[in-house]
Amino acid sequence: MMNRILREEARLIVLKALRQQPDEQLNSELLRLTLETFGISRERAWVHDELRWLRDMGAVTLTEAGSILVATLTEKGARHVERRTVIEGVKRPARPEA
Amino acid sequence: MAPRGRGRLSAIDLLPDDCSAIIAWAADQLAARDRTQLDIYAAFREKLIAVQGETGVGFDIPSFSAFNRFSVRLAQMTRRLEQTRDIAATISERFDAAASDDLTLIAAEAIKTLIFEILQSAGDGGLSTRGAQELANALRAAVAAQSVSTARRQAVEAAFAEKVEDVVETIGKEAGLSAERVAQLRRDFLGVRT
Repeated sequence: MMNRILREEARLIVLKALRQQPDEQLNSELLRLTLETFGISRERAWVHDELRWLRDMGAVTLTEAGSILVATLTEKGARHVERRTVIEGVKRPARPEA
Repeated sequence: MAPRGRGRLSAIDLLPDDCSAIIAWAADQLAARDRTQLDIYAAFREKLIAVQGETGVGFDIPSFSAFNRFSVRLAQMTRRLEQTRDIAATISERFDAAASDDLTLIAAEAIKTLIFEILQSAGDGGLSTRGAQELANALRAAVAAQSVSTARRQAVEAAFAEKVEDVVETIGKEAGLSAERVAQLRRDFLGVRT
């Protein structure tokens, strides 16, 4: 239960981090560090599992670079961050403050 | 050899998995900046005690000073990631945008990670180029792959070398790295050519 909430949150953090990059891509090592700044301190393998899940949902595409994965945001992933569609299993972004 | 990885685990890293959501909650509260750190710590402590009661799992509640170090570390890392994004954005336009294939993509990520790790090393003393080096190696492997044309290979190698020079020179100086370290980074990322 706790684990599910954390994963859903981590997935949103990943999508948002990609959205903030000028090229909308980021590698798993920097994503791992980004998650750490949100208090989610996990091994790279854990991050890879979440990235593969997001790929299977069509939210990102992945490129293998040796022992690192590079994630690129897709249109579907971007739409979730912008609250235009919902991907089940990813936390919904908060409404922008008025 | 500089220490690799994250080094000694903090009291917060040592908390059991049942506490993950509480740690994430605390990080969120710290980042929001509407409550004092002492206030957040008090609530954090209470939540952890509640978990101990519910699950019967025994663990040490981190002290306020451990919590403070955690908070400082998060804030610094957030700032470095933001700086990395900004610096990468300013140099990325010189990458060959038209040919956005895997090589360009990996090269861009190697550069970003290198920037972050140089910034991080200035703050934390030791230089850990774990991620950046892995990416540089992956790039070398990808470049060496048979399927890539010679011209494309050379173009990516040249662009990558130029970026690494820029990053190591500029940020290395700003971050106060020694000439020796700068030379080491060059060798790590560009091979023995330089």
